[in-house]
Amino acid sequence: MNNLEDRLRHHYTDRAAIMPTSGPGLDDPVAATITAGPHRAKPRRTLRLGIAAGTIAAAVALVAIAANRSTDTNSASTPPSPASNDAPTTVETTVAIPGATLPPDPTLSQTPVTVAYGGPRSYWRWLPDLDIAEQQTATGGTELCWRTPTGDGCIDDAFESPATGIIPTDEAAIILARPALGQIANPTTVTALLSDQTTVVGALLYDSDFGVGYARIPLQPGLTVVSATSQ
Amino acid sequence: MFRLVVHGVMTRDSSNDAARELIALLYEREWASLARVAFLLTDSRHIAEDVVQDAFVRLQATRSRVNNPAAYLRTSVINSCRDIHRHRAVVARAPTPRPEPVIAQHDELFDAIAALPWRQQAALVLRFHIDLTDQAIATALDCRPATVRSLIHRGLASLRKELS
Repeated sequence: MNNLEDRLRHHYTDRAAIMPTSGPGLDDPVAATITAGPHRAKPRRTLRLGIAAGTIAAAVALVAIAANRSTDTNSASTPPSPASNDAPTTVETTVAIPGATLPPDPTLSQTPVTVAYGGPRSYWRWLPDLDIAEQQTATGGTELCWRTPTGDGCIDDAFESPATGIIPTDEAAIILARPALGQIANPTTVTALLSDQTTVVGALLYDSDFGVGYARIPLQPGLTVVSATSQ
Repeated sequence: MFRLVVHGVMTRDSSNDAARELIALLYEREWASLARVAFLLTDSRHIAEDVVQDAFVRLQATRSRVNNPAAYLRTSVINSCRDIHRHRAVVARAPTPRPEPVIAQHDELFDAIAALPWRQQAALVLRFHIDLTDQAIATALDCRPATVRSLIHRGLASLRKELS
């Protein structure tokens, strides 16, 4: 047997010995709270990432604007639009929050958690204008509940690319996306069909602690996102 | 070594009781193995536990047919660990990086492994910690078995060079 391979096996075994030999008991009440995110988020870290994301988004937005100015109006940046060949298409990157934000809430969870069916929701502040809480459903699945300055609701948490989750918020919509099973690369953009039949493409950001990408689509008053897909 | 032995089929038509029973069985048999793989790839016990829990939540939430739930869980864990590596790379480039908590003492082998590309690290853990076959590793990493052999060969070669 190769010495290095043996050494690797021992190394892995020794290091992994720190891990418990079993997970929390399924019937243990403590296990009813299942962490849904791969990280244990800290608000300050999330804030820093939000600022970094905003900076990146602004840079991307400038590039997109420059690209649009460098082309004539007929050939302006028009990514593939599954919705309509004739409908006008614009490119939107994730931009600064255009509307209201949520007030401070001392009851917020420090981590994204999934609570058992019937239990009280545990909201986690993902974005300044978006709190989320995951909970099991009566049928054994999970749903993602959201709270924004303009309302609250729940969506099925089973969306995987190209499916998306659509959350309306003040003067914008937040589109959620994650890769499909077996898909290594994260989807990078979402294509949203608005209620006026225009199509908007937004860039997805993944630098949150929730493991799901999001794209913020600014909306004019009266417009809504009818459907969205991730690519 | 702990090998993945649970197989089953989960569909949207599975009864709740059957699905819960399969989840419970998977949880009992796979949790420790998956958590150790996640720990070896993230170097954080808390993150590893979260990653595995998240994989189970995803499995339970999925509405599509899952022919091999154990493989689904393993792929989910690997993908989450990969995302964490990407996330750390972004944080490391930030002006004020936040130091990650150090869980265990690091030796030269640890440092040498940490310097490997992510896919080589994952392939080595899946081969030398849980003894997966080339095909199973290929499924988890979404590549061909030949690529797995190449990843392992190059990973070992880099370690030998680094440690010599």
